[in-house]
This record gives sequence, structure tokens and C-alpha cells, in this order.
Amino acid sequence: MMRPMPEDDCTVRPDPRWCAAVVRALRLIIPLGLLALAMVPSRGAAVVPAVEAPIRYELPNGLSVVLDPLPARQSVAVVVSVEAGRRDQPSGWTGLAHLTEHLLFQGTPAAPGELMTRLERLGATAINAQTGDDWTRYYEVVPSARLERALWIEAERFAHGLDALDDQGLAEQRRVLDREREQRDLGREAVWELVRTILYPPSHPYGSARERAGDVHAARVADVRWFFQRHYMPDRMTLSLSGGFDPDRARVWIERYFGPLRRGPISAPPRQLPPPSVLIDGERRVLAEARRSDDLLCVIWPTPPWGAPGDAELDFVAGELTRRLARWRRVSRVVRDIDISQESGHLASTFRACVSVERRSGTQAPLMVLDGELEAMRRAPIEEEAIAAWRRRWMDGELVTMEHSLRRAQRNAARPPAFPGGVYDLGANLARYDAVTNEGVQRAVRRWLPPRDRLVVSVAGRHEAPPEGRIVSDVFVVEAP
Amino acid sequence: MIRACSWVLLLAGCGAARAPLPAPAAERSWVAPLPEPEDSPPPAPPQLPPVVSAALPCGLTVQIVEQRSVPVVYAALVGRGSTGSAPHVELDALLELALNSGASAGDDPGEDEHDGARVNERGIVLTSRVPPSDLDRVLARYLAVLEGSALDDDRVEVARATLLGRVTFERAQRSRASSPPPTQELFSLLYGREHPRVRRMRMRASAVQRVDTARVRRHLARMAAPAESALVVVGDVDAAALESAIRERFAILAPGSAAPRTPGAAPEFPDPDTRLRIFGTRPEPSAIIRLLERGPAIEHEDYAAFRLFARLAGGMFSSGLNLRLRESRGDAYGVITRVSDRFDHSVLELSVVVPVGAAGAAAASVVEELARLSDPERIDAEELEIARTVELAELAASLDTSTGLGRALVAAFLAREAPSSIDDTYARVAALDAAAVAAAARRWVRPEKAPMVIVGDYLWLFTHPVRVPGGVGFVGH
Repeated sequence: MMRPMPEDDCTVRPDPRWCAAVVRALRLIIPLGLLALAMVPSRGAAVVPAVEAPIRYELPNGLSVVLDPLPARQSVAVVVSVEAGRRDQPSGWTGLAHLTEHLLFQGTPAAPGELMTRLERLGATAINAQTGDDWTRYYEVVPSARLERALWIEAERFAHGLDALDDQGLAEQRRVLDREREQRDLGREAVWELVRTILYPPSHPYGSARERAGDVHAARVADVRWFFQRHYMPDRMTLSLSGGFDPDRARVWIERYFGPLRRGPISAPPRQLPPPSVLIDGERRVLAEARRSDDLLCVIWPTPPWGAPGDAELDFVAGELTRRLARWRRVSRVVRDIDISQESGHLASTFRACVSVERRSGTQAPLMVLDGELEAMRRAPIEEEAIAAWRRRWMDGELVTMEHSLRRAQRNAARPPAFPGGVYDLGANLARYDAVTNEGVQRAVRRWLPPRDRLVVSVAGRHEAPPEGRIVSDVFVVEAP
Repeated sequence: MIRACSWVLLLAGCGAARAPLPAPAAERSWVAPLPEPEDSPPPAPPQLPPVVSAALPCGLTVQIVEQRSVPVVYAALVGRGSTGSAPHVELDALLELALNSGASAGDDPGEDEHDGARVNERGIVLTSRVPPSDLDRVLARYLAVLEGSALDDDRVEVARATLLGRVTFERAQRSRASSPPPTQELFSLLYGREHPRVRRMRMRASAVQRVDTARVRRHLARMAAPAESALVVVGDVDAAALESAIRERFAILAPGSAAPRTPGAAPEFPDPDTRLRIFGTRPEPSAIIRLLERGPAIEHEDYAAFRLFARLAGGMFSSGLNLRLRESRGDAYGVITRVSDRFDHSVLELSVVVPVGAAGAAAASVVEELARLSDPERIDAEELEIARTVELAELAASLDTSTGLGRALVAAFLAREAPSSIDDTYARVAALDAAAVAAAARRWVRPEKAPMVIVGDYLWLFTHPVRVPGGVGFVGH
């Protein structure tokens, strides 16, 4: 992330706990034209509104383009997503993807100086970038009248972004990364990285995500150039526009400025494959310590990726489980927060049920309550009324999310393999929520949230714990045959 | 049977072996220079779409805007409050919780909650973002609020339980500490200890218990008196048809009027005896610096200039303070500065995280920057131009969505201004120069007195004094 944004900013903030992962499993070209979905009577919620699919095409150099014109708007969100992230960092080079992201704001010979300032001169807002496990993306919102120049700046970034890079620029951004890392630790986000480290072993593509200062400081200009030349090529990039613009004029500009980009001598890396499933054979119980003012229980299961069967059902489970635990929270004097969600990633997901309690009050009680509610959901389906309410909430939520140009552009750039055609589609997303039934939810609980094969992490809040946290014990519990 | 395989893992940053990476293919890009576009004319000022306005017999104001780019509707019921609805921290907090959709202990509304409510000295605002097919439910809910049937006993008691849980926890936290929390102290320095905003941070359970349900309902009736309230709807709607439907549905409300709430005394914003309080903690590598300063109300003539001042003071990447602390010194990931609007004033908040060893220099830089931006001779023309461009662009972009436009209409109503004031704000910002920004800063900003707190390593900060004008106090840990 390039710059911290105010809490109430609408831009997407990176979630250092579980970053969504994008893979392009297929090189995809969707025929031109708008696909209007018919009004579909839904199962019990509001009628699914008609939604127009964006225009998708590909340049001869492999760049994927998504155009989502919204004629009445006065601004345009510009998103460039690159299929390279933390998982693409060679062993021992943590932070290389993030450092590359920062360095691509340092300007080019034709556009010298900090690109953020150059974009702000155009009136760009919500300028930022994010490095995830499987992708890195760059984005801003510009006045419609400035779109052409914004496209030129972005093309310059990816065509010549490291031409002006020198040791001084590298040293400056190393320091900024240090400050960003420290701020994350100060925000107690390290505990989530600790949990991630427990879930994904070092050999897993997501296993060594935590950025180490030593690795960042070992990187040289040549190393960053190599990473860029290997991964930041047009055949691994998606340009997504959403907002007030003329698609015909945009096509001309995109061809003019992005058309010349091409892959160089370094051969393309293999396509990102879905990472191996995390197998949890038995209940793994981990006791950890972190700098927190409370204790934390997190129970985690590996679950299907975004859009795959079971994913939508688990969204409903998360909502219903939260509601049920809220009833218990009212009478408990020690519960601070309940956070339950299906963390949907493009390649892999996790279902996470976390409860924070007052320090030293223990995590056994919340675990028993959680297990009791899950067992109830395994035994009997959720009431139809509750399903209808959750259906409305998830469908409405997706529609409301897609009101903002920036979120539309980011979603449209996403390539979750489990979606039809391997690209995000609003209509398909609404349809899968509409199709959820109470029997389906019950099956999902039984299939994906078993009572024994799971990771149970208890984090004790300790001021003296190191900033990155530490594991105190790690035990597998296996039932007697 | 338990098979125990326990071991201790130390995450001490032992990285994997680091093999050298291959050399890059080239030192420079193989892509030929790209043609540069010609400069385009500046964006035209945004045009506010037509606002269908009406006043119902009951006094309720209705504002409807068609915006059909996406199938979403923003709806808000906003009340300025009538006579007798004086701010009362426990009552406001309880009412807010009770009104929030699905309000139950543990079900606090999040940032993306579709139905939300806020109650404070500014008024009451209920908002919903829904697909068009769900608007009927929202209107029914708002009608229930206006006619007094929205709150049953159960709802209020659930909200009370939630609030008591929070208040009890926070009191327990405070009782373990030897001083108020840094945030509370910062707000106390700005407002004084007895201001409602500060008292809301230290509510007492007994005060919450004393607020009975009937009183909550009366408070709601006064805060949402139809004659001092507005129904705002923006989005994928047919404005004419919707107006008719609203007239018909809300005809049940009796005709009436309400005396506007008499504004209480504006905050005094006393000059603090000691403007900087340092809260020492256990050893931590980073320190947090925060500053608060009062500002003009949204309808004040200085408001636009004050917002531009905030941009210059850290509200954009290219602000001098951010460039200095982040890019030049490498002391920060970034500065965050923003303006939040209250009933009769606004508040500027500035925060930055730095290594504790740089806290003193960073605090001094913040104070110096406030002083610099109060002098028109020292405001750089280019930085002002960037700030103005970004502010105008953000104003224009915010009107692209139903939510953004709806919020602007709500803010205008609360400020007793017509919707056209939204266009006026754009024009006002566009006309600002360095003299106007600096003049507004001198009227509102106190570089030597604006309250600050620093939270960081006790030992370091005690042995390396931070020097800023206005006095420094050490709170310890």
C-alpha cells in the first residue's frame, strides 16, 4: 500500500490478513457487446435488477482490457492489475513485490518526478496501490476530462517505470517500506500475519508472506529490474476503466499508449496455479502470544475459493453464526468482539471465526459456544426466513458495492477462476446468492466446517510479546479410533 | 488419545537462504518512447442534477434526484431537531444504537452497513443504500420513525445492554490506567473536559440506566420532528412517481410545525495550559503523533478555505508535510489530515506514525507547517494549485454516486442551506488564493496552541524532550 488513507475513505484498504488472490487460468477473450441479463424473479428477495456486463477485449500484446462506461459520471476509475504478487517472490526475497510496487511511482524519463504528484496535478483522487499474494494493482480516480493523460501516465509507468531508478531512489523507498511495516505492527496487525504463518507452512506459496526487513534491504536495483521484466508484462496485466468516458475514444487511447508495450527477452513465468490445498488432518491447536489488549480465539477451516460451490453458502453461515453468537455476547461480560467471515480468495479461501475476550479470561468458553452453534447448524437447517434475510443482505450488498466506480473497476479486473469464463461478473455473483437454500447451507456446514479437522489458534495478549508475535505451543489432537 | 507433538517456534525473522537473482535483461526498457498527449482543458464544474423538492403538509421536506447509472438508491431521513431536543450524551448514544438496523448486542453497524443511524448534537441522520426494489421497506421504516412507532421496548433494551457493555468495559480500562486515554485527553484539550463530545467518551453506566424508554421515544420525536426534517432520495428512481407515492404514504402524518432547536452555546475551544501531552508506553519502535484543531462550520464563509488548508497540511500526497516526513526524511509512511463536520464547527485532525527517535522532529515539523500555511508569502503557488485541483476533483467525483450526492444534500439540509449551495462550494474553492487560505488559517488555526498528543516509548521520550511551543506535559505510563 502506498499511502495510508483516512478510515472513512471509500478506497479499498489492503487486508494484510487475507489477501485475495487472482489467477488467470485461461487466456480469455469475450466477444464484444453488452450482455443484458433479463429480469430474473428471485427466490425470495428483491427482483434481481438488470445489469450490463462490461466490454472485454485483448490487445495484440496480450493486455486484457475491461471498459465499463457509465455515461452520466464525471470521473473515471483507472485500475491496472498485474498477475504478480508475494507468491512470485523467490525464496529469501520477501518484500520484492512490494518494493517494486513502490518504485513504480518514482517517475520515468518522460514523466519525471513522483507519479502521485503528477496524478494529483490532474485532479486524481484515491490514488494508491496494493500488493497481494497473487496480484499487484495500481489505481486512481480521475476527472473524465483527464482520462487520456492518466492513461498515458499509467502506460509510461509500465513501459519505462524503472528506467530512472537509481540507488538513492531505492534507498528512499526501502525506508518507506520500513515505516509501513512498523505502522502495521503498531496497529496490531501482526497477529493476523502470525495466524497466516501457522496456517500456511513455509513451503506453501502463501507461506512466507511476511516481509522481512533484511530481505528488503538486500534488494538492489538490478533485482527489482529483473522482477519487473519477468512479471510486469502486458500479457499478465489487465487494464480496467469504470466511469464517465466514451469507450470508442478510450479504445483509441489504450491502443496508442499501451499497444507498444511488449514482453522482452525474459521468458514468461508459468501461469499461477491454484495453491495446494491446506490439509488439516485432525485438530491443530496453537497457543500464541501477541501484543494485544485482549485475548483472541480464531478457528479456521480451508474452504472453496470465490465463486466455487459452497462459497456463497458459507457467506450465509458466517452471517447466521454471527447473529447467534451475538445473543450469547449480550449475557457474557468478557466478550469484546465477534468477527466471523468466509474470506473468499480467488484461488483459495478460509472460513474464520474469531472471538476476542478480555485479557486472561480464556478462550475455552467461546470455543464451546461456537462449537455448540455449529453443531446445531449441522443438525438442523436454518429457518427459511433467516435465509431470505441473508439472501437480501448479500445481494443488496453486492449491488451497493458496485455503485462506486473504483470498486467496479477493481472487481471487473478480478479473474476468479470459479466464475463463468474466469472473470468476475456481477450478474453471476447475484445469481449464486439467489440460488442458496437452507439445505445447501446445512450441507456446507457439514462439508466445510467439520468439528475436528481445523486450526484453533488461541492468542494471549501480552505486552512483552515481540511485535511479530510468537508461537508458544503447537499440538495436534487426534481422536482415538 | 492425544498425540502431542509440541514444539516451540521462534519467529525471529530468520529468513530462508537467499540465492542471487538472475541479472535483468536490460538496464533500460526496450519499449520506444510513447507519444505524449496534448494538454486537455480543465474539467468543467460539475452540474448538480435537477432536485425535485417538495414540502409536505406535515412540514417534512422532500428532495429527490434521479441518478440512473446503477440500480442503487440512497435514502436518508435527516432531522435537525426541534425545541427541547438538547444534546444529551447518554440519550443520543442510546437512541443511535436503538435505531441502527438489527441493533443487538454485537451487531454494530459496519462501514458498509446498508441501514445506519447517527445521533449527535448535529441532528439525527438515518441512511439506507438499497436496490430500487427495496425502497418501499426503507420508506416504511422512515415513516415509522416520524410517527413514533419505530422503537419498541425490546429494541431499546437491547440497545441499552449493548451500550452498558461498552461503557462498563471502557470504565474498567480507565480504572486500570493512571490517566485518561490519549484520545479522550486530546479532545479534552480541544473542547474542555465537560463538552458533550468529551463526556460521550466517559459515559457512566448509572446514567445509561436512568434513561427510560419513554424518554428515548420523546427524544426521537423531537429530533425527528417532521417540520424540521427532510427525506432525501437519490438514485435509480422515477422522481415524479416517487414524489406522488411519498405524498400519499406520508399523508398520515398530521400537519404541524416545530420550533427549530435553539443551538446551544458554541464550544469555547479554550487555549490549553499545556498543548502537548506525551503518553509514555512500554518500549515500542514507533510513536503516534496526533493533532486536533477547531475549524469553521460548513456554512461559514471560511469553510472552503479551511478545507484547502487541510489539503495543504497533509490531506494529499503532495503536501509539504507529507513529502518532507515521508519522501525526504523517510520518517513516515504518510500523514493523514482530514476535516470532519460538526453542528456549529468543524474539526481538523492530523495524525502520523514515526519512529520514536524522530518524534520530536516530526512534532516540530507539524507545528512549523501550520505556521507556514498561515503566511500567504510562504504558500507555494504550485502546491496551492495542486491542492485546489484535488479538492475540486474530489467534490465533483463525490457527486457521481447516489451516496455522495445524497450525503451532500443531507449536509446542506443540516446547515439550513439550499441544494444549490453544493454548486456554490465548488465555485468558492475554485476562487481561493493563498491570501484567502492563510487568512482563514489565522482566524482558526493556532500553531502554538492546537492540542497535540504523542504516544510512544516512555523511556525514550522522557530522556529526549520534545520541544514545541505551548507547553509539554508528560503523562507517564
